Parts: sequence; structure tokens; C-alpha cells
Amino acid sequence: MLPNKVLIIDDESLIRKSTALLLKKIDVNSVVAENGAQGLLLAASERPDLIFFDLKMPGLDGFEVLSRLKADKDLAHIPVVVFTADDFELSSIERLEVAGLCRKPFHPQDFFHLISGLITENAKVDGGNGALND
Amino acid sequence: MIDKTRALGDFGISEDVLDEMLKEFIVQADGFAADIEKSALNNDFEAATRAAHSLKGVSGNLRLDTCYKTAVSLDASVKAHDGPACKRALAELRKNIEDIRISIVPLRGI
Repeated sequence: MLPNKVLIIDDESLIRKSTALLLKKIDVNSVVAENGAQGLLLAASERPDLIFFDLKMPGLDGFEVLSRLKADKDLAHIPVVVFTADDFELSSIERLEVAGLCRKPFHPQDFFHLISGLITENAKVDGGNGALND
Repeated sequence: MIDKTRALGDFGISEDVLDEMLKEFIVQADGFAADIEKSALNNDFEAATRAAHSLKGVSGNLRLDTCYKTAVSLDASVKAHDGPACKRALAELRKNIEDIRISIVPLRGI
């Protein structure tokens, strides 16, 4: 099963575009935000099935975005995946309440397996009532 | 020259679309190189690290393997506050950017 809609929050335009292209290749729609504040607004209005975000962003960083998502009862259930390009961030990420980690650069097959696995797992937790593609 | 085959296959896009992304990358990478050079000269290695980190992520995601390897070296050199290594990596990065520039056909707008 694949998500219907994925939210990508990253301040780098080419990361947003390349990730959206990979998702489009497997018929998954994406919405993109270029900063944390915009990402939170889109999370609330678009209700994505999965959220990817970068930890290092100017303004509201990934840690703050995650904290606010988890504090919102309507959004807390959405699985979130952290983008990282740095090994030194791993120890910080391990302490976070995230569903997965996506190390940049990522191989398409690893990326597809990751999102497919996360959504399947979340559907089991939700009793299979989520909006998912076949 | 750069190998576009992998990026075209991974993203499932036309060469024109990839070239547009590469043009955007060149502008960004030129900016990262300038930021890193300026920051390193001012011993502001934290700012240089942020730019190198961004360059690493973007080049890797676009399958620009040679540029990604240079970005990894650059990232390591700024984290180590190693000025000479940073200078060498920046020179290499500028060569990589030029290779990407000449791989784009037609050459216009950059």
C-alpha cells in the first residue's frame, strides 16, 4: 500500500523537487513546504498520510516542527520521517519520536520500501481505515 | 561530463527537465561555494558547515556523484577547520560545477 499524499518540508528547493519526482514515479501525490511554519499549516490543511522533513532549516527547525506535530491531537498520528545527510545527527534522531529516517542521498528502491512499509504499519495501527492507494 | 543516465532513470523525467534542475543546481552550488569560501576566510566554520551540508544533500539527491564526493570532502574539511583542505575541495567543486555546466545542452541562461 502507498500513501495518497505526502508532505515534504525542506528548505532546499532541489530536495523538494527530487523527492516529489520520486513520489510521482510511483503515483503518490506530494505537497511541499519550504519551511517549518508553512509545513505545519499544510499538515493541518492537507492532512497528508506521511510527512518528510529536514532537521536543519532556518526559522522553525525540524525539531520544533516535530514537537508541534506531536502536540496536535489531529496530526500526531501522521508518521513522520526525518531527512538527514549527516552521521552526527543520528544520535539526535534516535531520541526523536519519528517513524523513520531517510539518509540523503537515498536510493529510490530504499525510499519506496521505506514509505510503503511505514504506511502499511500505520494502517495496521489505525485498523486499516486510513486513505491509502492499493 | 556527468553521467545523466542514473538521474534520468531514477526520476523518470526527460533530459530537458533534468537540465532545468541542473541549471538550478549550478546557481545554488555557485552560491554555496561563495558562502563557504567567505565563511572559511572569516573563520566562521559553522556557517561554512551549513552550506557544505546543504551542498552534500542536494548534489547527492540529484545523483551528481562526483560533486557529492567533493561535497563530502568539503564538509569534512570545514568541520575539521582545515583551511588548506577546504581550499582544495572548493577548487575541485568549481571544476565539478563547470563539468555540469558543459553537460547541459543547449547552454543558455546560466
